[in-house]
Amino acid sequence: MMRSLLGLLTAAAAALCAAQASAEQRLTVAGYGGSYEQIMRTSVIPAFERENDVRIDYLTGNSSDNLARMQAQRGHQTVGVAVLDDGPMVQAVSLGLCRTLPDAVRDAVYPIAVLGDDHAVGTGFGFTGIAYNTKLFKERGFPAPTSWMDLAKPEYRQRIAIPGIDNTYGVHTLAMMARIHGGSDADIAPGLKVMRQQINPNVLAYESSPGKMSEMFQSGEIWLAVWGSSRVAAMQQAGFPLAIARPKEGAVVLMTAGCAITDSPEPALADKFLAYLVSPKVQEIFATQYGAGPTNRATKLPPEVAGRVIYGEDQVRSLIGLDWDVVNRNRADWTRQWQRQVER
Amino acid sequence: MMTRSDRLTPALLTAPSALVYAGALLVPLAGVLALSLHGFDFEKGVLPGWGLANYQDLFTDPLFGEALARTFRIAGLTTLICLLVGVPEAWIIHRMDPRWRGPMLLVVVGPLLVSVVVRNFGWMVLLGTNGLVNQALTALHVPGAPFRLMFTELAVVIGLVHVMVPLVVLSVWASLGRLDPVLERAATSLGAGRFTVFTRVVLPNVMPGVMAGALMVFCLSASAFATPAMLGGKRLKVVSSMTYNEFLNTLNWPLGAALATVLMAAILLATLLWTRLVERRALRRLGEVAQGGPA
Repeated sequence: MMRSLLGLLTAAAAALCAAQASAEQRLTVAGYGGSYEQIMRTSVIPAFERENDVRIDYLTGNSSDNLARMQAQRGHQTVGVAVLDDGPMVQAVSLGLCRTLPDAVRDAVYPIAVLGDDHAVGTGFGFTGIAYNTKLFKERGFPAPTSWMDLAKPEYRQRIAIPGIDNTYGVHTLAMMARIHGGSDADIAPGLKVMRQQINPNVLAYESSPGKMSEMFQSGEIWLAVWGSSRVAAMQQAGFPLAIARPKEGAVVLMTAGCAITDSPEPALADKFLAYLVSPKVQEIFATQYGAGPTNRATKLPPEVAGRVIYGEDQVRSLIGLDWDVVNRNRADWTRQWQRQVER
Repeated sequence: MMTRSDRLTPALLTAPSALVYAGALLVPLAGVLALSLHGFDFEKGVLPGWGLANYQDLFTDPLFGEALARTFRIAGLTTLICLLVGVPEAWIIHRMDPRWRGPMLLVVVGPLLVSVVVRNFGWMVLLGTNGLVNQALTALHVPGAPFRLMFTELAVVIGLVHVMVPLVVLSVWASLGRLDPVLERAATSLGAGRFTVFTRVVLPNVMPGVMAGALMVFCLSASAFATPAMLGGKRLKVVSSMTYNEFLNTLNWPLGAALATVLMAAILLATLLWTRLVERRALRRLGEVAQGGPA
């Protein structure tokens, strides 16, 4: 009796394990932390898990951390799909980390959102501009920022934060400073000079972490910062009086981009998740909650959401885009010079 | 007469820990060292060739020199302050009523129980221009307030001292436990005041604990990463934050490995010098005291 019971239990356990194994197809998705992770975990991932009977592990990290992680795991990747900023994504493609996009994914989005020779897809449009505390600006009677050079105004001394050069917002800042002072992505020297002489004295800290940035805004430590539209949207949703200005010289387009990773387990599932990320349903979620403009042409947004995000190709064209091939090639050199001349 | 198995026993007993050390410490260290000898190219990644180019880069780079100096300045200052606070603190707790000792030790160890990120965020809130410290200073009409405290070396030292003091207290505490209370009474009976008892009897006897505590604090402060990064900001580079940057941002692992190697060698050198020049001398003096020689 005892023995047969034991046998039954063992069989049941084995059957359970087998069922578990077949149900538990797993996919690791690497993406940003903060509000992005929140939206992924609550509004995006659960529906996908239910529909496909799989499990998604979300791996948090900023673009450069995740890029470094995938570079380290080259050959035995655990990450199936990665979401990075457009610049690091182009770098990931040139490092051979991304597989070619499925045709359906490539054809669903605006051509501008297809990156790295059909290897990565933009999942949302945002832009880099000047974020400012509207309440403090009103109290002190400051006009809203209108130009990148407003960062050099003496009244903001030690009240500005700019993300570091390790961060896409920081790269955008330097590139814009170069462009409006006669340089270009290939000739960054004028930008470094302006940063060093005119902007640096105003900067309280070079801060890449979104968590610390919001803390500094909330404590009133900083009044304005170079930051992204999606980060500002998240702060606004939390009820903080923050707005983002598009400088007259142009705000810089910043895409979040996804790709399926080479040599990862579950390639079919990875492609499916990538397609899900650019499906109109998910695009609307990110437009509503993250302030990201949809890259899928078929996305229909309610008017109150459409007014707040980059919507449609014309609006995207009004933003400035960097030549990431040139920038990435020179990025190590930019970093070196930035650390020595600016970040002091 | 030692048998064969007698001679083998110690080796067998230490084998597991020796294996763990070899596997978890020596092999990775050798890997880092080997990595630091490679070159790096942005598009091709780590290059196969060998050479000392990374080290040459570092030693001719003023930015690295500055960071190395800052690392040791912060570690040295932190150690000094920890000793000044921790040694008397341990002595005071040691002299407390036994009922209070347990709770007091728990209070002292408190900072070690809080996650480093939480602890540093706390200091950020306190040290900000609009933070509590500056609000208090402004309310007291201290001239020049509010001061800029965040993103300074001072903030880093404060953050490090906060978490390192317990290490000094605990290691001095352990030495105090071995101190014979008769010695103090003997000194008092011979007419020594409290201060003399502490400086001439207690302190020399707990010197091993003080030295060990100082060494621990110095090594941990010199290699600390989170506190300098969070309270010092990107401008105040220390060697560990530069290492992090090379590994995770520029992806230049060989240079990062070279940075890590130099930092380790520098800390090792400082440790050796410390044991040579300070600890041994202090312990010798202690030995003379114990033998009744000139104190």
